[in-house]
Amino acid sequence: MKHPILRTILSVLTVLGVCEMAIAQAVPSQAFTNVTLHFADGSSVSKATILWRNGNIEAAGVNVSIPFDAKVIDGGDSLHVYPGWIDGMTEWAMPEIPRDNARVPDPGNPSYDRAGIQPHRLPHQMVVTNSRDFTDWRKLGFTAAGISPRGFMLPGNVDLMTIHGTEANDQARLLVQGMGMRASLQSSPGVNPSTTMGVMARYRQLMFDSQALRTNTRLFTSNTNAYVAPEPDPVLESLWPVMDGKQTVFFSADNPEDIRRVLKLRDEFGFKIVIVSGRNAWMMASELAQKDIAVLATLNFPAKPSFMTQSAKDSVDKRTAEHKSHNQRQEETWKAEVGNIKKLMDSGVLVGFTGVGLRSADFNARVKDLKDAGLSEQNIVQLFSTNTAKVIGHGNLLGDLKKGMIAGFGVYTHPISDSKSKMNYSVAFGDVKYYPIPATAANTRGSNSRAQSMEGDK
Amino acid sequence: MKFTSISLAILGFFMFCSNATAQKTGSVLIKNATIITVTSETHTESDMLVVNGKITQIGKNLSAPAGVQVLDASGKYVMPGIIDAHSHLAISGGLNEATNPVTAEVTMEDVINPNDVGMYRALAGGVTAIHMLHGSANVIGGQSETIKLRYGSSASDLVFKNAPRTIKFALGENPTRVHGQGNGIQPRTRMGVEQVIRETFDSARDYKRHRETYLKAKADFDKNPKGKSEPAMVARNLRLEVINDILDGNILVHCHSYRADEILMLMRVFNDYGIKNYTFQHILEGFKVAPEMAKNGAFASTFSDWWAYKFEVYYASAYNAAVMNSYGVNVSINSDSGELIRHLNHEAAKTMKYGNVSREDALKMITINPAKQMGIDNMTGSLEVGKDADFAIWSADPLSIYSICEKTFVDGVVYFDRDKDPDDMRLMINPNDTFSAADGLDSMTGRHFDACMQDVWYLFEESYLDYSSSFWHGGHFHLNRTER
Repeated sequence: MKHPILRTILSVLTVLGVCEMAIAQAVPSQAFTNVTLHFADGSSVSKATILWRNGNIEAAGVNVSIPFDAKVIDGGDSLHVYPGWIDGMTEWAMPEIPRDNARVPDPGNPSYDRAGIQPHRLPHQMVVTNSRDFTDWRKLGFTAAGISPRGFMLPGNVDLMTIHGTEANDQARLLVQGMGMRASLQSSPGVNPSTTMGVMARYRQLMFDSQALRTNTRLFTSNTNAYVAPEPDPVLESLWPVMDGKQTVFFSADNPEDIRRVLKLRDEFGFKIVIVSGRNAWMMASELAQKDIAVLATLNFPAKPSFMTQSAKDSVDKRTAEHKSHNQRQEETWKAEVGNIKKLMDSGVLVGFTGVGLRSADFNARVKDLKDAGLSEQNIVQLFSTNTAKVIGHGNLLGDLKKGMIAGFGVYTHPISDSKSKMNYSVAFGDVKYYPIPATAANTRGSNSRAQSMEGDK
Repeated sequence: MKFTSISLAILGFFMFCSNATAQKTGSVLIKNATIITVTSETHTESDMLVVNGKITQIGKNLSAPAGVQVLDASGKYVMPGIIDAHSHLAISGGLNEATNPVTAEVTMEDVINPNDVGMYRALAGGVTAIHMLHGSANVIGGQSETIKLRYGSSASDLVFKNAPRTIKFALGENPTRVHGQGNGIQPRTRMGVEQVIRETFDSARDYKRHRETYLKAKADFDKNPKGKSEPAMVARNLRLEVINDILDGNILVHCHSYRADEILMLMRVFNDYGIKNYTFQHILEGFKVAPEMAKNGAFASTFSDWWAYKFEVYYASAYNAAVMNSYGVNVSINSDSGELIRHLNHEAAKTMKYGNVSREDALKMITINPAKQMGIDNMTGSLEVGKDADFAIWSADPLSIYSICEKTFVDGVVYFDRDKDPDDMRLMINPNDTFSAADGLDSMTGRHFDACMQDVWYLFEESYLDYSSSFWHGGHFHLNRTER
């Protein structure tokens, strides 16, 4: 090479490249040793090691070679590692719906935004800094979520994100943009469409318009001289992946009638769908199983009827026979709704979890309701991990403790079926968060007295 | 799960119904009853044989085929199931898409609520089919749905198969208040209402021409693309396609109306566009234009004696139905109410008191006449061999105030039986509602408001509307409002 300046530039670039590779390799691996690994299939292995680097699991099992550079926490044979929980569709850190929705001049022709038709929105660009959602849900065992904007009939995309750091503006990382499209039968009040039938009709018209725009865009780009340029429309364009079946629609529906409406739209337009919330989906469990429709189920059960509380049972019963019959049916209904997930699972429906509408403070109580309804520990682990990962189409990336998967898991003091179980560490995309165990709880952890934090290394 | 006796009774009822639903039809021999056919003579001490949901014989001394249940109805009256041409029962998520003067694209078929206990209460009044109408906020509202009251069936199983498509129009104060007065857009006046209809019809014809031109060009291109350019796509327009179906005679119009001038106006418009077989709903001033209605073949579906709930309905008469009937207009008496539908036989009987309508014609007003208006008279609405076995057994003459509906059959299947009538027939239970609110009767104890305007009163509120926290739930719109 004769040109000295070019030679110099190339040399510098080469050095920089080598340095970058060296830096990448220099990211230390991390490991928990002497822990019990609980896999999503219900199996477990004790005295095991889980090793990860760059946010990915490199090994999980026994006889794992620990690299010389690994930062290791010895679990002391008493810590239990479970796959990180996943919220299949949530609204973590999403801005509230604007409340400034004054009457519009022509409610029959509102803007897309006012009508709640916003399928082009990308939630990872909307995350509110300083939200406590990531912190609160991480503490409960969650490490990843499908995040979607709040809204009405088409609020936006569902982005798959993983919890990461602890900085206010860097609590989550984008894994998959546009993993799904959020949809519901919910209208935006005061404008068209304002009713369920209006929403149904609008979905159809949107698909017709989207199809025409796509065709005419194709024609125009094929021969710009022969066709009039179609007006760009980001809303209609964002529906093209849905039309192609390349993007799953995460459709919220609770009762069988609404679920059937969603299925009707699916049949008309060939959507790929997941039912979200599905509070009374148990009523059509066999039909959903037969049609291979997965559900991201809510734990936002109705409140336990007041007459079922202990204090009500202890008080003098002044109810008439008719009133008692009414209450009896209410109790049966409440139990059926709490048993929704079990009924769906027993019927062969793939069921994951959605936290939309559920407060983090209520999560543990609702999990207890699930246990009371007969869900086993294995069912619960699957519900929050591998099942949800499969429902959202990323079972190869999340939801288990396997080589190559994202390093997202929770480390507990006891098996999670044990009421004494406490989260000791959360590992999300390789990032370790340590939760000190109060002394009374720590004392019950047997030989494990070596809990330590890696956070100081960050 | 522990079941109570009531739960078991309800479960048993629906196992019975679901078995019947699986079969779709039932068979039964009714013996020794007074059989009111409505379209021909009344048979005393006669029998009616139903096989697989169809009436196969009416006469004396009929015998039941093997396996067919025999019901002794000595001293009882059998009449066709009552048909309500104007109902808002069994609708989910709002009955008024009141946001635009024209919303032909919406359809009741999408929002049938099979859990509405109101259907069971209507069955207890001898009703077997209803016409689920969109509200009357819009000049051209949504498409309606005709359903049979197969209570306990899914939404799709409630649908009256092969019933013609129908749609709701509305004239007068409702659309002018909602859109003109409420939003400052056309129509503000009755003149504007007419123009909305005409402009919509013309737009639909324009759309049809464009769309058909595109489809033809596309077909030509697909057949032989050589030397041709693929045509730019003209998108389907759901709203205008429905309007074209009206203009092509494939959808029957049912139009909310009151005043004589607007009734004449719509008949002129329909004559201009060649629309036939339409029904005026409510039509309180129909008695003023009965000859013109008869001349145009317009039908009328009215109340027996309800008026004065707004300005345009003060000029009214209990003789309205009788006058129109005397001019040969097809008249039906409707409910427009979850309460009134339970005793439409009484409403029909009022036409005998006010106007001396014959017993036969009074009964037609709640059976074959509404069936004609809904385009289902070839299948139901009278007791004739070959027709669907939709009927009710009454303890006495059904036009008597003392008569009680004892059993109601749809397609030969019993859906109401007074002898097996559990206290609680709700299909969906809210675990958290109160005992007093559970029956839903607090909202249907009478006609306190214009049912066709349900869900739209918020449009007239001047208070600040907190739309963001308002929502549909359980078939009701919950609007959170904060006074300024």
